[in-house]
Amino acid sequence: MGVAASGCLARRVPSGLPLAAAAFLLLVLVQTVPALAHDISEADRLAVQQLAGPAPMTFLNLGAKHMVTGIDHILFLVGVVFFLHRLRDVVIYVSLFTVGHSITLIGGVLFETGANAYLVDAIIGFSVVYKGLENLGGFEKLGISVDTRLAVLVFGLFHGLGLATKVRELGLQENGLLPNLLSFNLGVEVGQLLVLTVVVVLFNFWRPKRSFAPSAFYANLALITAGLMLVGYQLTGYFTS
Amino acid sequence: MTDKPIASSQPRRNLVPGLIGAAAVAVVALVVFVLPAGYGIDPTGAGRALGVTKTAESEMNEEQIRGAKRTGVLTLSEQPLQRTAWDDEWQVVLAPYEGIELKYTLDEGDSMDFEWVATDVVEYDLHSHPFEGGTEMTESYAVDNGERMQGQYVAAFSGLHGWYWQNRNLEDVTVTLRAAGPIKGSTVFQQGGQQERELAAPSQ
Repeated sequence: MGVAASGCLARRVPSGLPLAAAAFLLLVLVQTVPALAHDISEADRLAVQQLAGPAPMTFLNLGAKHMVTGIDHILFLVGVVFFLHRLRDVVIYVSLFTVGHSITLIGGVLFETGANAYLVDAIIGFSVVYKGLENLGGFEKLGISVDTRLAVLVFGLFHGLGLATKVRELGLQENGLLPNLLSFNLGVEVGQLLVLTVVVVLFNFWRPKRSFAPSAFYANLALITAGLMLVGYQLTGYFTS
Repeated sequence: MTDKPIASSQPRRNLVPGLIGAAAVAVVALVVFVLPAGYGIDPTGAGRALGVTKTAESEMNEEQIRGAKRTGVLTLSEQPLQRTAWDDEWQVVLAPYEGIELKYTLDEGDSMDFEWVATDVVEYDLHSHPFEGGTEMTESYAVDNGERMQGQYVAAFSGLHGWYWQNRNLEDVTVTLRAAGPIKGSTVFQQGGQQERELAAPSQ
């Protein structure tokens, strides 16, 4: 969302001010990282704990809500589609991400794999750093060749692990577990589609503009900054808890 | 890769300074805003000066604010209580990330001695809600983490009084709770269900 917003700004302001756009993104981030990075709210948790049996609409909603308000997932998606101007590529990469996070979301909940939420979220933050760096051609410069499709799949696995932890924090009942979990997963995809539609449309407006190339450089640096903040925030949580 | 042409046309000579700048901004933003706001960790004092540290302090929720206004409800002891006779003993094993809640039914003014010990650090919330007004009137007296807690509890009103525990370790944790006092009953809350349970005095 942030980068999409900065794209909007960059269209209106003179192209010499991409820094302003990046600064705006950072300002938004600084305020939202602690609030959004980690949680399905307490009210949701209580509501879910009172549920017994399948409640597909509730979980569909929760999944979509988590995706749309989860700044880490959104930033990663922004990074993924940044330079994908063909719809076919968008579909391929997003499908890989979806397959990855669905495997670990469903597997993680069903098999009750315990992973530390802070560490998983730190890796998710790192996935944003990685994507920004890849977009800037950082790996080519280092002479490292990265299979970008495999990377999206693997980071998708970690995003799913993060989602699984959030679902487990809700305290799901055995009764109706599978339908509820599938509904949550479906909700995640609905939320992802909503976010992607906005992001891809904004990028399509922005890409043909002359301001895109210089701004893209700063926007990806901003992604890296944001990712580093997420990593730092989560690691601090890990070491102080 | 099909998506590379635009990426490759980026002015790469700026990459390293750009990355150093990005990292520097991230560190400054973390130290100045994010950590003060998120955890109340404020090494430079900038968070306090800018007023963002308040977010951490005001994270006290309504329940805690109500609880903080009470006095004389909770008297913690440093040492384990010198009590050998208990009216109730309850033990539970919490799987990783599992949470459970046990509440005692107490009348207003009832005084209860308690102690609980866990085999590893658990998150806990000691709270209560009155029969009149229900869970909307919930008050929290202690939200923290630790391996044990002991002392005296005086009910501020007639209602349900007890603990929520959550295990955030990767191994099982056993929590053992003992209590003594004019307890009228107890209820276990877990995963949406709630269940009355009989008090079980430990055998001497």
